[in-house]
Amino acid sequence: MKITAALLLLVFACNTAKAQSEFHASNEFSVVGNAINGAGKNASSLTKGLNYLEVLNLYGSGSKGAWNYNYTLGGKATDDLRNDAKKISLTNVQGRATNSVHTVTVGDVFESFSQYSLATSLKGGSYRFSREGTKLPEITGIFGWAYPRWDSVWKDPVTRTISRQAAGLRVKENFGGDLWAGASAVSAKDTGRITAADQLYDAKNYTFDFNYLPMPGLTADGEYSASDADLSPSAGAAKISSKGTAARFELVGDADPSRVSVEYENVEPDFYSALGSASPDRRKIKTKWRYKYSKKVTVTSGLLWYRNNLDAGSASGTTSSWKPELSAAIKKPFSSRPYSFADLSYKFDRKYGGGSSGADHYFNAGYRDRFGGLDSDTNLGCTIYRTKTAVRDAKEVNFNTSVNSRHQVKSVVLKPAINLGTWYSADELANETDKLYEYSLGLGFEAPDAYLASDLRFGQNILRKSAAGTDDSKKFFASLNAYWRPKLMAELNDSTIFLRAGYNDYAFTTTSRNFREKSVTLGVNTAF
Amino acid sequence: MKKSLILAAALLLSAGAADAKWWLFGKSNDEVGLKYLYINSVSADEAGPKIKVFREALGAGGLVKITGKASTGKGAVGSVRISLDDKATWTDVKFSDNGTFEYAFKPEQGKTYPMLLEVTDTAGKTNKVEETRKEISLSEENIQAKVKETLDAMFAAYNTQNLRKFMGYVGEDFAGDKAILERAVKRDFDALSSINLRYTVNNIAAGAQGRVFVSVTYNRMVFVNKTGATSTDSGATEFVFDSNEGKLSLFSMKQPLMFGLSDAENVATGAVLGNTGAALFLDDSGSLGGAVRTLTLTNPDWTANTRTITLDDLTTQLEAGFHAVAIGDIGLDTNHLPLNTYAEAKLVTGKALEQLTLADLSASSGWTGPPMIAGSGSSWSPGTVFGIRLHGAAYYAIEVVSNDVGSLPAFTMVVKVRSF
Repeated sequence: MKITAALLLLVFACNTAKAQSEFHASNEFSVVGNAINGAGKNASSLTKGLNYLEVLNLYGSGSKGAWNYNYTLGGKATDDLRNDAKKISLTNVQGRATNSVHTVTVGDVFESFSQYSLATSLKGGSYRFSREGTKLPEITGIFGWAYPRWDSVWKDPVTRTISRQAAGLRVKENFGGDLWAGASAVSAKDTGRITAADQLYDAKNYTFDFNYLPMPGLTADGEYSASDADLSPSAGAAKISSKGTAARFELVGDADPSRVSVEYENVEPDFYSALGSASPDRRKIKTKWRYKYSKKVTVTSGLLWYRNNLDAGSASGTTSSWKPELSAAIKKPFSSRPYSFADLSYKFDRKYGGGSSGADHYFNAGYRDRFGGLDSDTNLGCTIYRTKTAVRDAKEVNFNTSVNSRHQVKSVVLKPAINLGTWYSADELANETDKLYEYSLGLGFEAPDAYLASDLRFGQNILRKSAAGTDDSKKFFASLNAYWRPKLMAELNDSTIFLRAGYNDYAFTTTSRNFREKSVTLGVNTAF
Repeated sequence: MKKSLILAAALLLSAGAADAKWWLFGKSNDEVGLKYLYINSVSADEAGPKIKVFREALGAGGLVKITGKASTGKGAVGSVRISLDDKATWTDVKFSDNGTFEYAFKPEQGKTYPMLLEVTDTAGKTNKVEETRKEISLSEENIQAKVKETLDAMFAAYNTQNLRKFMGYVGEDFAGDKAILERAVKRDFDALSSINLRYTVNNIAAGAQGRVFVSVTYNRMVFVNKTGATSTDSGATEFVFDSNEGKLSLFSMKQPLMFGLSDAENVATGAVLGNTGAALFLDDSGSLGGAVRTLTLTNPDWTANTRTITLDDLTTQLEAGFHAVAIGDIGLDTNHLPLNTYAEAKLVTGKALEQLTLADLSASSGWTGPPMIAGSGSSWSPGTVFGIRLHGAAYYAIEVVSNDVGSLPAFTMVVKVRSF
């Protein structure tokens, strides 16, 4: 039945295409050749040999009578199993028709009702009724399956998943413009266990959400959701029923020079949302204040607190976290330097309970400026990890600086760049130190008259470790990306030929881990 | 929790009634202005000066819809006018008695609309028109191209460990909490180097509410600074983005995670349907995967050959006889590995426990189900590594460190156990 439904969607999309008044297509075809050598080549994430990748997307829109419509259709093909487990797959199918009142969508349907109720895409259809300028509520109905990809709809053995059938209804009403409120009911039912251990849910969520503007600059919004779920943990096992609620509430005051937000969230351990977004078993309070002290200085402060184990059911106890932070961004800290910009931040991370106790400090300072024709960006960070449970006691320092410039020689633009970085870690528990050094040099090249742009980059990462039995390592890398828009192709449509070449040489103290990767990709990107 | 909700509601109601403007920071109800303004459901306060609208996000009839509410303090609204050409021409906008108004126009590709709104009260006083200026244009990119551009930029910022740039792509309303994600990503950067992430898009769906759903297939390789080891994994995951000003910002991520591996439990909101287990994650010590734990197995009563291990919490229990392991997930004796229901195992060759990755296990075949794997020799040799798969999804590895066989059934085995 689902295959038939999917085919009908395709037919719908194609029939719609016949009457289009606007049509766009984009296509990218590339061939990649990878060579991996060395005794440690199994560690590479590249696929050896020659592979291709083809990505096609079609978009059309038009109108017929009072109705406007649009559709999208996309697919990809590849013989690289690391790119996709399927050689040919459908990526997008969507058709949408709307007039001033009714909107019908089929195919990939993404109606985000609210965070807790429905925040994922379905393969199916939806209908929305919305008559502007009246007191009639906006009504949205949706039905479909929550498969992450189309292959799963027709139960392809490679990408087959359990079936999650979903249905939902939402009613939203505006009350005088300052207030809107919505009520949603969503159900999700899992079937088609693939292994005996697959967990199947039969869940319902009933949600109320609102947005209220009591006065200029102040917004209040919130959501309350109740879930009722039956879980079948495995084949033959007794069902487990659970009921839970989730609530969030936020106040935002926003008017220069300040933006203040206060947020509260409580998600019970037994709350379950099959189609929404929630972190179960969390009570959270968060405040944030961004204050523009002057035209040059903006100060941001925040405090986040959250805890778990709300029903005190965890044997290991409750874990609480405090995360305060303070940062400042300063434009033109030196008045004589018009392009100077500095930022400073301090973040604290305290976590305790449940067998853990940690207090981490994060310091960071950044500075950007332009010296003559050179743009520089420098960052210095320091992290102090402290635990009372001897999990991670360490000091880590990182420093990065980059210098870029731009030079025009007749019709050619050159963009040289240098990046330098280092990372130092002192592990106080193991009494070991690690050091990482990085450098890279780059040269960007643009010849607008020849429709050519390229970027050449090479560099090295060197990791030095003091612990016995661990490997030092070096990675040398080089890459070239080049894009060319031939004049003829540019006149016909928006097309680019691209070349990407990369070389990575990984060397370790244990030489049997060494390997080298060479990768060349040649492709053409076309859009019209 | 009910008390908290009641308190919050009381605060809100009192705020609505209060004259105090401590939180308004300068805005006054008495000024002529706009109480709120939305452009295609995006708050003008939250948007920057330039607003790019995707074709897929246009409202019914391909229109950009501007809604708002004029406020004039104690007076009444006299007129509301809109200009889409930088004050060259003005159009009267109909408004209701309470000041709410709505205006819609059909944007043309390649054209920019400098929009300004003028509110005048019946006494002739007007708002600060320049404060309402927004440049509206229709994005020439389709949503697929924009998603690819955004993911490329996020992956590039993560690969080069540029935290500031990376967090620029994360929305303030990130469902797992932006502050949690920022610290988790910073910890990722301290733990990993030479991150190499690649992906292809499986599915994109844009919703009328301005949100975009994205499913991708990925593969990645990382260096773990603490151990000096490399690790690879691959799989499929999902993102949801908010679109605002022609820019996409991350709203939520599911397991397996691409970013924030150091606090996966709090960063991810849900798991991808059909997900075959947690991918890479970093534990509190900055190591990849679960910490390696060492267990010593003995049989003090001399009557039993096997100790069973409950892998979720790594407890061991005494079990008489290895042919019917009824407790825990697996049993282990000198040369047998009995398996409980839903447990599968295999011998792993060529890699030590610390070198193994989830991808090594999840991509491999040749799993053996209950009742057991039997060794061909008299006892498991030190260095023998088993891969364990529970319920088809959770992966573990066990390495035999030592295996001292006394007068059977006496034995003392030391094993290392690691979860993935």
